Amino acid sequence: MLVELDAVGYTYLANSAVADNALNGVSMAVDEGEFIAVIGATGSGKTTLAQVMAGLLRPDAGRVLYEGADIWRDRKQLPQRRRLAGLVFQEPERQLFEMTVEDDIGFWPRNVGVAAAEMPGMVEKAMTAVGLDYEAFRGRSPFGLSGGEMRRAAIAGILVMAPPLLILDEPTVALDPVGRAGLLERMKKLNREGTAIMLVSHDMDEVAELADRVIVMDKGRIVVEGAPRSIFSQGELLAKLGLELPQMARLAKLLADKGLALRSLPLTLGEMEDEILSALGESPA
Amino acid sequence: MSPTTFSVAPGEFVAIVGANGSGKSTLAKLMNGLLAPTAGLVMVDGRPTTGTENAQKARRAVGMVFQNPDNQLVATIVEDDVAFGPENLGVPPERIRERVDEALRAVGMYDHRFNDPHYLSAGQRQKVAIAGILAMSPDYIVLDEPTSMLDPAGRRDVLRTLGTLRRERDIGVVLITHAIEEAAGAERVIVLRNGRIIADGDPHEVLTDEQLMAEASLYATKANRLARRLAAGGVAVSADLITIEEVAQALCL
Repeated sequence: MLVELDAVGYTYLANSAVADNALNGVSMAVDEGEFIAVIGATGSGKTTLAQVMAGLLRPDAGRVLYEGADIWRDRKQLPQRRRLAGLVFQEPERQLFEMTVEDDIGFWPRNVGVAAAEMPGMVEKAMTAVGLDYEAFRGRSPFGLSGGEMRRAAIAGILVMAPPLLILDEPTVALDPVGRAGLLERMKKLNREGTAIMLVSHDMDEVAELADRVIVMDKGRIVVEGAPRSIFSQGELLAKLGLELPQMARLAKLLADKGLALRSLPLTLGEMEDEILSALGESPA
Repeated sequence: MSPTTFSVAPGEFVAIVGANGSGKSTLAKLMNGLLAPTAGLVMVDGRPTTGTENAQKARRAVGMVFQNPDNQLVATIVEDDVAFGPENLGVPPERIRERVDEALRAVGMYDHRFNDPHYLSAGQRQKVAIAGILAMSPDYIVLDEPTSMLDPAGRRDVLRTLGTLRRERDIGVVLITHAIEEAAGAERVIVLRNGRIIADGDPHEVLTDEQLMAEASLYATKANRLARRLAAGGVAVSADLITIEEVAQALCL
């Protein structure tokens, strides 16, 4: 088990009149190489979960275990342990601050004492992973990049330490369709190469396409978790939680309402095409 | 922006799509006088938007809603927030009361009028931001990616609200979006590329033009991609369907 949360709770502004219980008794685990997605309405606790998972917020109940070790028990080891999980915040380009792309991406390794000689190679590898050419971009100011390039540079700043778990909090918000597809393709590739990914997303199509496992949150709790097909078979529950089905599953429902029933729930375009062709083939047209 | 010509009529629902950096947000700010054109003319109801007085009139006629509701909310009580606009326009206090209540009802947030907006969901906050614009009685609303930070329920809610405003109040709506599925629901789509309009017309024609979409770095809707695949596979559906509702309709005749 790479990362495990054991009955974790987190309250913002605890002991105040506006105390806000963001996580409540959350237990979950991420295995090596898994691709999991976290969905839930605004305010359901997804971002807090991501930050607790990354060892940035200390829960006020329960334990956060990295490879079995409670990360908050020995504070001296915390910086070292945090190398296990890298978190890309929402709109991470807001955190760019260095004079050059190379220095910005090198910030994390520099601060945990990676030898200077190793840095260029690490930075180059991270930039390649997000599709930024090392020679072309290393010397540029991060603030002179386009929005999509800035986002990728900021993600490279996390990938540079090659964390076994990469946590992405709504990474595609405000990217255009091509930027979005390119970024997701690169995350898929990273995952195939062994990095576990936890994706927080409002886009059900994205989730249906990428995740091995989906975690559904509501009011600081995990309501249900399972394979995408099992989660997206629960349309009524999702609607009640302010969520929706992927487009192809919504189309399946429209078809069923009109009397064209499909054999199984399609989540992707290809699956829907097959389902429709076989349904039309079998029905006496 | 390069020389660009188009117009929006009262009650019309126009979507503007294009890649990052294509000029969508610049165009939005030109439409209500937040930016003055360096060449050419922007006219609102027949008046140019340049000059202090004209720009003010343009801002009154054309309301703007931005991506992040948190950048637009100013007060700690919902109804105060909505009243901020009309107060600044010098609307008499008794009229403000009416306008605020009416605007909050229009977006379905009247029951939350005494809440602190910061404790509402993002979708609800975006609706409060829209109410704040409505309370200024605009003739047009320009929304710059208003749903990109919202959860699915919030997104549906905001889109439904826009439909109602258009139908019931004849407000012209300009929706700037990266979600091609949202653009498919508009009456008219404008496609921008490198600061130029490269298409302006019926979504069924514009969004199904493969060459045009590729040129603009956009993708067809999933429904359209499905329709094309089915048509190619011998199913009797038109290849220019663009929404899942249309596909369902065509398959279940």
